[in-house]
Parts: sequence; C-alpha cells; structure tokens
Amino acid sequence: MTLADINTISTFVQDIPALQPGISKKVAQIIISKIDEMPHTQKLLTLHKVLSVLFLMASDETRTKMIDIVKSVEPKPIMVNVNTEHLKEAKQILLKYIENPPEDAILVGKLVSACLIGIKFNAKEGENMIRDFIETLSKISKVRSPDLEVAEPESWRSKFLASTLIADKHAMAIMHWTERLDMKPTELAKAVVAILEKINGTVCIPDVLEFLIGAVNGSDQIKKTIETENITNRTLH
Amino acid sequence: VIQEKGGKMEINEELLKELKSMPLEKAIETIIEKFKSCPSPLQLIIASLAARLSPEDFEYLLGQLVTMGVKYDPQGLLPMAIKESLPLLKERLLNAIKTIKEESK
Repeated sequence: MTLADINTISTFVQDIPALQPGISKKVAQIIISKIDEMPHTQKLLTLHKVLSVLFLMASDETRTKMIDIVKSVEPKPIMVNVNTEHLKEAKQILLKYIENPPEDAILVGKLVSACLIGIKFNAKEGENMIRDFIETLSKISKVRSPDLEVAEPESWRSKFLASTLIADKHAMAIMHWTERLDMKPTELAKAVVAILEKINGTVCIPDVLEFLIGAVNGSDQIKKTIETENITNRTLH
Repeated sequence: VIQEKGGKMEINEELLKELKSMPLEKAIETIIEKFKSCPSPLQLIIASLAARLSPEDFEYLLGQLVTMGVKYDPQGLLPMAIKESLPLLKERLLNAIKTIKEESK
C-alpha cells in the first residue's frame, strides 16, 4: 500500500458522519469479525493496538465495565498454587538476584515471573528456571513464541518449557508496568516482593496487578499491604 | 499518515472513487482488509470508525474486543485497562518502596 492509498483511506474515513443506529451496529460487527478472522499473532497485535486506543476513548463507566469483563471471561488466567514455605523461598531467590540485578529490564521481568511460576513447583525448580533464563537470554536476544500453545505439563522438561512460555507472557505483563510506570525494573520487583509478602494461597500475575489496582482505588487490602508494620518493618536486604 | 508535496496531500483518486461508489459497510470491510497487516494504521482507522459509532455500539465493540483479547491473551489486557490510573499508582508504589528501604536500613 502506498502513502497515497493511506492518505486516501484516512480522508475517506474522516469524512464519514456519525453513523445511524442500524449502520453503527453493522460497522461494529464488521470490525469485530475482521479482527477475529486474522491469524493468531496478527490478531493479538491488532487487539493490543486497537484496545489501547479504544480504552483511551472510553468513558470511566465503560472502562469499569470492561475491567469487569476481563475478570469474568473464560478462560481464567493461569493460577499458581502456593504454599507459605514455597512463597518464602521464592521471595528469597528473587531478592538474591535483585541484590545483583541484571541491567536488562526484560530479564528482570522474567526473573520476577519465573519466581512466581517457580513457586508453583518448588523454589529449587524456580531457581533453576531463573538460572536457565539468564543463560538463555545471554545467548539469545529475542525469546518469544506467541504462537505456541501451552500444554498441560507432564514431564519436568515439558513443565519447564510450559513455564517458560507462561513466564514469558507474565514478563510481558510486568514490562507493561515498568514501561508505563517509568520505574526501574528492580524497584518494580521489590514492590512485587512486598506484595508477595501478603499473598498466601493462590497467586498469579493478574492477581498481583489487581492487587496494585487496589492501591489506586484505595482498597483496604493494599493499604494493609503497604502501610502496615508487617510490610514496613520487613528486611528486604 | 500524511505526505505533503508542495503543501498538498497526495491522494489516490481512483481508490477514493472506488470507495465512494461502494455501500459504506462494503467500503469499511475493504479498508480493514487493506490495512490488516499494518496494526498501527489500522489502529487509527478503527479508532476513527469507533468515534462514529453510537455510545451503545461503541461499548458493544469494546466489550467484544476485550472478550476476544482475554480469550486469546489472558495476561496481556489488564495493564492496558488501567493505564489511566498509572500516575497515582506509581506514586504509591514508589512511596512503598521508599518506606521499605528506610525501614530496612
């Protein structure tokens, strides 16, 4: 497509008036079906791009409704079962690596997510995973497999591979945060650790993010996490 | 995306005539089809179209796309949904980190 084509189409679209009810619904359906029929990776890219701008256009009320959809829709986000012992060990592993942080922001995101995934199994496996990430990422600059399906792990190897892919997705979510919060990745990691302190039972990255959203809404949960002595008196070094 | 030559935007008159001769729905299908491998321009085109929808249909469109997004990428959408709230969130997190650092000295 040439620039003249793009200009032409932009002009054409700009000249479309507000749509009447019947047409308006049809246009919405066309947009949905055209995106839905795209190949997987292209669909994801398009959804990310389109949703980010549509969210900006949406009213607060609509945005709240959308967050409710995110919470209610199937499949549910991948959950990680945690026991207190694993949580404690995973936190120590994470802190150990944060003491000497890698400069690569994506790697820090991966460390955090690997640790969260690692605690699903046990802390030792989580640590192996982190080491493997470091070794792998030092050799390979780009590790992304968005088209691969994550199967239910059976063997350790497939378990690890599946975890790697899940962690990769989690790392992307974390990187959204470091980028948008304009924080140092290690600061974000420390905040996640502080939050992990207070989470028992089941945890996953969306849980953590939702927990953080609570901070904005001033929820009691986040206030307890951040402001109580339990957190402020922790020794993180 | 605009390219100007001597202050004038370059237009493909033939394409414009073709689009104008189609029913609107058909023209929109054609446009999205043409842009389908270019997410960034497509984002702007869809945003322009969405701005012309009724409020109910805008919500319907957004709801369907969010549902699709969560189905295909369950980990990726939540951060996007809350981006508007980030400055306050950042302030609170940084305060929390500062407190943790001070207390752990």
